[in-house]
Amino acid sequence: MASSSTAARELQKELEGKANDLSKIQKDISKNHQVRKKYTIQLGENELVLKELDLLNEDANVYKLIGPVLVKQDLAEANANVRKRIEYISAELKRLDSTLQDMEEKQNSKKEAIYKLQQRIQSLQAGKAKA
Amino acid sequence: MIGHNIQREQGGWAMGEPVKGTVTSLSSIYSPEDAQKASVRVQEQISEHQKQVQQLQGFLNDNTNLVNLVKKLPDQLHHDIMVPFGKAAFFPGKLIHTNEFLVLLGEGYYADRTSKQTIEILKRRGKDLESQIENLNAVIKDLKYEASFFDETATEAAEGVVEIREDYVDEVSDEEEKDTPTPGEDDFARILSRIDELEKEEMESEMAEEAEDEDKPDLSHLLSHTHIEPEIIHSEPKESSALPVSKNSDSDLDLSSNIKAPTSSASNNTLPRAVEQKKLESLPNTPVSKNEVLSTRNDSSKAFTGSIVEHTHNTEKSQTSQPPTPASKPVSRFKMRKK
Amino acid sequence: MDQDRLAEEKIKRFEEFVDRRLKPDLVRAIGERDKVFEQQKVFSDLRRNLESLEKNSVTSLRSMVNLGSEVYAQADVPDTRHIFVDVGLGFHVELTWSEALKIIPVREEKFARQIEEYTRLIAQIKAQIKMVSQGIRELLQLPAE
Repeated sequence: MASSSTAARELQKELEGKANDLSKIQKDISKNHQVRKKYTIQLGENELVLKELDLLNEDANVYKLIGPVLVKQDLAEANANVRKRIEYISAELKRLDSTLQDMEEKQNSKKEAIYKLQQRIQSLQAGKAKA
Repeated sequence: MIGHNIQREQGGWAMGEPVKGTVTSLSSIYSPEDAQKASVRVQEQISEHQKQVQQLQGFLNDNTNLVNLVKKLPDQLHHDIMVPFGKAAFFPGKLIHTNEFLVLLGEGYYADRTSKQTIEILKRRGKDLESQIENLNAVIKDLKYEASFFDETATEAAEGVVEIREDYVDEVSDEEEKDTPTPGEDDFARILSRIDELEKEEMESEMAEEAEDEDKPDLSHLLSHTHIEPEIIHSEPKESSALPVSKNSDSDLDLSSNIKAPTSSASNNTLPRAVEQKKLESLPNTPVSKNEVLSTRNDSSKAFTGSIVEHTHNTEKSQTSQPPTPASKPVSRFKMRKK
Repeated sequence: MDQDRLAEEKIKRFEEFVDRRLKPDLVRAIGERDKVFEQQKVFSDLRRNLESLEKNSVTSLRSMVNLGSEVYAQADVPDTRHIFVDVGLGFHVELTWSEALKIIPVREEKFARQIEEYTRLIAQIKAQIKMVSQGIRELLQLPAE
C-alpha cells in the first residue's frame, strides 16, 4: 500500500516535469511562429521593393531613409542589397522551419510520454481502489 | 473522447473483423453543444476576416483617391496649399514641381518618380490589395459554409439523427492502399469497377435514376484517392442534411494525426449530402479516400473534438472547376430519425 | 460549510470587480494619458522648431508633403512669418511667431496638468486593485504578499 502510493507520487512528479517540458516546447513553438510571421512579412515587402527597383530606369534616383535623412543610393547597389536581404530572410525562414519541425517532433513524443504516464497513474489508482 | 470511440470502432474495421455495420446516434459523436461551440468559433473567425477586408477596402479607397490626386497635380505648375509644419501647425504655401514625386518603395527605399510613374506604382499596389481582398472573401465564404455545417449538425444531433454505416470490405487491403499515395491506373480501374458494382446495386434498389449520371464526372478527382472505403449510409428525407461526415476506416490515422485545414470549397459544400427521398435509398458508394475533399470532412469532424481549425484556401481554386454533383460525395449517408 | 460558500461567492464578486471594472478602467486611463503625452510632444516639437526658425531667421521653406501612402510632393513656403496653429476643436489660428511662442507654452502646461490628473487616477485604480486583491487573499486565508 505504502509502496504503491510512493510510486504514484513519483509518477506524478515525473508527469509534472514532463508537462513543464511540454509547455516550454510549446512556448518555443509559438515564438517560432511569431518570428516566422515577422520574417514572412519582411520577405514580402522586400520582394515588392525588388520588383519596383527592377522596373526603374538605370538613371532613376533612389534614396534610402537612414535615420532621419534620405541618402542617395546607387540603383545597382540598392538592388544588390535588397537581394542579399531576401536571401538572408529566406535562409532564416528555412532555418526556422527545420527547428519548428524538430520542436514539433519533440512535442509529440512528450505528449505521448505524458499520455503513457497518465495511464500508468490511472491503473495504479484503479488497483488501489480495488485494494 | 469522441475521437477515441471512432478510432476504436474503425480500427476494428480496418483489421477486417466481421462487422456488418454500426448504428451511431449523431449526438453521441457530436454533442449539440460542441457543434454549437464550433459554430460560434467559426462565426468569430468570419467577423475577424470581415474586419480585415474592411481595413483593406479602406486602403484600397485611399489608394484610388491618391491615384486621382497624383494624376491631377501636374495639370498646374503649382497649387496653393497649407503646408503641414509638424502635426499641429501649417504654413500657407504651394506645391511646386508638380510632376515630381518621391515614392516609398518599401523597406526605407524611396525613388523619384513622375506623376505617371507614380500612378503605375500605385496601381500595382491597388491590384495587390484587390487580390488580398479577394482571397479573404474566399476564406470568408468557406467559413460560412463551415458554420452552416456546424449549425446543421448541431440541430441534427439535437434531433437525435442516427448514422448507420456498413463497412465495405474491399479485396485490396487498406495497408496497400495507404502505401500508394498517388495511385495510378489500376486505382482508377478499381474505382470504375467499384462504381459499376454499385450502380448495379442501385438499380436493384429501384432508386437509381438520378445518381448514375452524376457519378462519373467525379472520377477525375477520385484518382488521387488513396483509400477506398465505401460506406453505405441510408438516408431519411431531410431538407437540410449536413455534409457527410466521413470517417473512413483508416481514419484512426487521420483523426489522430492529421489535423488539416478544412478546405471547404464551393463544390465541396454544394455537394448534396444525403439525398432526400421518401423511400429508402442507397446511393452508389463512391470510394472514400484521404484526399483533399475528404480531409475537409475529417477536419470538420475534427473540429468537433475541439481541435484548432486552420485554413488553407488554396485548395479551393483547384476544386472549383469540379461540377458540384451529388456523386462527388464520397460517402453516402443514411439518416434516420430515432423512433 | 455555509460560510465557505459565502466566502466563495464574495471572492467571485471581488474578482469580477477587479477584472471587469478596475482593470478596464486602468487600461483606459493609461490609454488616455498616452494620448495627452503625444499631444504634448507635438506642441513641444512645434515650439522647438519655431524657435530654431527664429534663431536662424528662416523666412522661406522648402518641404515635402506626404500626400498619403508615403508619396511625397515638394512644397514651397515663401513666407514663414505667419503660421496657423491648432488651438483645439479643429480650429487653426493665424499667428505670428511671437504670438505662437506665447500660446504654445500655455497649451503645453494644460497638457501637463491633464497628465498629472491621469497619473493620479491611475495610481488610485492601482491602489484599489491592490486592496481588493488583499481582500481576496484574506478570504482565502492566504498570507499577505
